Amino acid sequence: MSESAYHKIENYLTGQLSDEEVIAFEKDIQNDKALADALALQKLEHDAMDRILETDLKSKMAKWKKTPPPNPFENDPTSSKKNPPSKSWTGWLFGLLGLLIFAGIVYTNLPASENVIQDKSTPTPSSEPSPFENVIPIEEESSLPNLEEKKIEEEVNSPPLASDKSQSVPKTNPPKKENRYLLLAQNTYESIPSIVSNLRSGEGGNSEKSDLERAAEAYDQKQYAAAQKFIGNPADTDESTVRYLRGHIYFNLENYQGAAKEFEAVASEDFARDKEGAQWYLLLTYLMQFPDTKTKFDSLGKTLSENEFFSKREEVQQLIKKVVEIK
Amino acid sequence: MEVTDKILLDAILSGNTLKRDWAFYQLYSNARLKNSIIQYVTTHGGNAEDGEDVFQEAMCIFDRNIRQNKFTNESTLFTYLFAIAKWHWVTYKRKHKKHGEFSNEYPDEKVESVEALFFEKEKKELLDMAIQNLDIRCQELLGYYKLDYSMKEITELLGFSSPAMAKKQAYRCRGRLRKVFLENPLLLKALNIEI
Repeated sequence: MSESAYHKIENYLTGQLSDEEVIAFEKDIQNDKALADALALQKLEHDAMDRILETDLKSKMAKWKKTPPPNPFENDPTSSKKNPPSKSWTGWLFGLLGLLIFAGIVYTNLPASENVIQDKSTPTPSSEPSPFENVIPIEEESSLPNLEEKKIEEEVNSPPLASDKSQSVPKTNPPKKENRYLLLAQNTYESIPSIVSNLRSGEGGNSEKSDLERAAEAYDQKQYAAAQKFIGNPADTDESTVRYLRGHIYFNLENYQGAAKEFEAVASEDFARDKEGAQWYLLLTYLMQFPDTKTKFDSLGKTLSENEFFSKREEVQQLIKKVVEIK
Repeated sequence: MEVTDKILLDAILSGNTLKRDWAFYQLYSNARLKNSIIQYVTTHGGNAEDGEDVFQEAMCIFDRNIRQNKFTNESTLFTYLFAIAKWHWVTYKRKHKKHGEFSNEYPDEKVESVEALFFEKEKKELLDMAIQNLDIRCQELLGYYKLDYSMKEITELLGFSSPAMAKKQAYRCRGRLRKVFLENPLLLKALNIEI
């Protein structure tokens, strides 16, 4: 099918054709079986996308039983997408102004010293430290990812504490290189979003949960030992979803060898749903086992960082850069 | 702030996920609406659990209809949602009736053929199977695409290097869906698709 036909069908399905164009297109469909089939296939893709949204909404409704979503209209129902300025700004401003005025009053009423010639035209610096010396300028709220990134960078790149017998500070040994790899991997690891909603539950109002669903729920609640119990031991017949979840459970239980095996199994399947996720977390698992798995880490890291379609390509490149810095 | 139908509809169609979630939460937490639906189901052959399921399904159908501009503002949202729930329960009961049973309960309702109901179920299973083939990132991307987010917005939300890359990835994700569809030629044939 040509690209123009694909886009025409897409515009038809998303309601972007004019009335005349719709009539003409529907006439074409009647006369062209291939076009009609292509339309039906593309429509199925849109039905799948609707199903994704449906699953997402159901998952949210389950969460709303305990926690309602944030109210975006808290300050102004007609506010734009941007966040309104924080109220603490005005409070700070008035506070500062008040302090300035108070300090000014105090300063001008100070008794003059005999030994100091006061020249009002050139004010001398006060012997007292300015109350504002250590005031840190208020910064706008950074977006969370940048703060997290900064925190990770500081933790990884902070120079090891020097031990110095002449000083009274407690002696600390510089962190071993292996620990720094561990720290980097731990700080980079993020728990996967709740996968409970992505698991197929029984139809017809069957409330019986499968062991897999129980394992996923326990994982979401960070009860990894319970999750491991529900998910059971690895088996060759396990589906990739099961292995992927088991990989994460093992990771959080610090069974990195076990985690690596599970992620390797998922990553090796061509069309596994969680293939990319497995590849990423496999990389982190190799990092947790440095230096034993250095060769595997380097090899997988190179493959993923050179794959322009890999969704976490930039994260891989940054991770490799940080590992090199540790070396 | 008084929550009107207009505010809810604008929020759902705004393209802002926070506003959408907030709007659906207003409906979800509306006890009168929920209890009306549950009461309807329990007085027409179902139980409270069925009522909860119907309520959730109705919310999903409502979402799809609003996005497809099927709501014509001829009733309140409350009435519209209730009507969807009612229709859904009727259809559900018909699907799960034993073969041979005939009911005059809803004589004016259009009766779907057994075949059509069967293929609807098969189609749903095919869609679920295809979605299982997508990773979470693909699902998020296609979800935003279906909510009419621009490629630029998707780039910012999901951290792609450029809108062109986001578009390429969207095409790739849809290719994965298509692969599953093409692996089920019998079902495609039943849906009158011949590839």
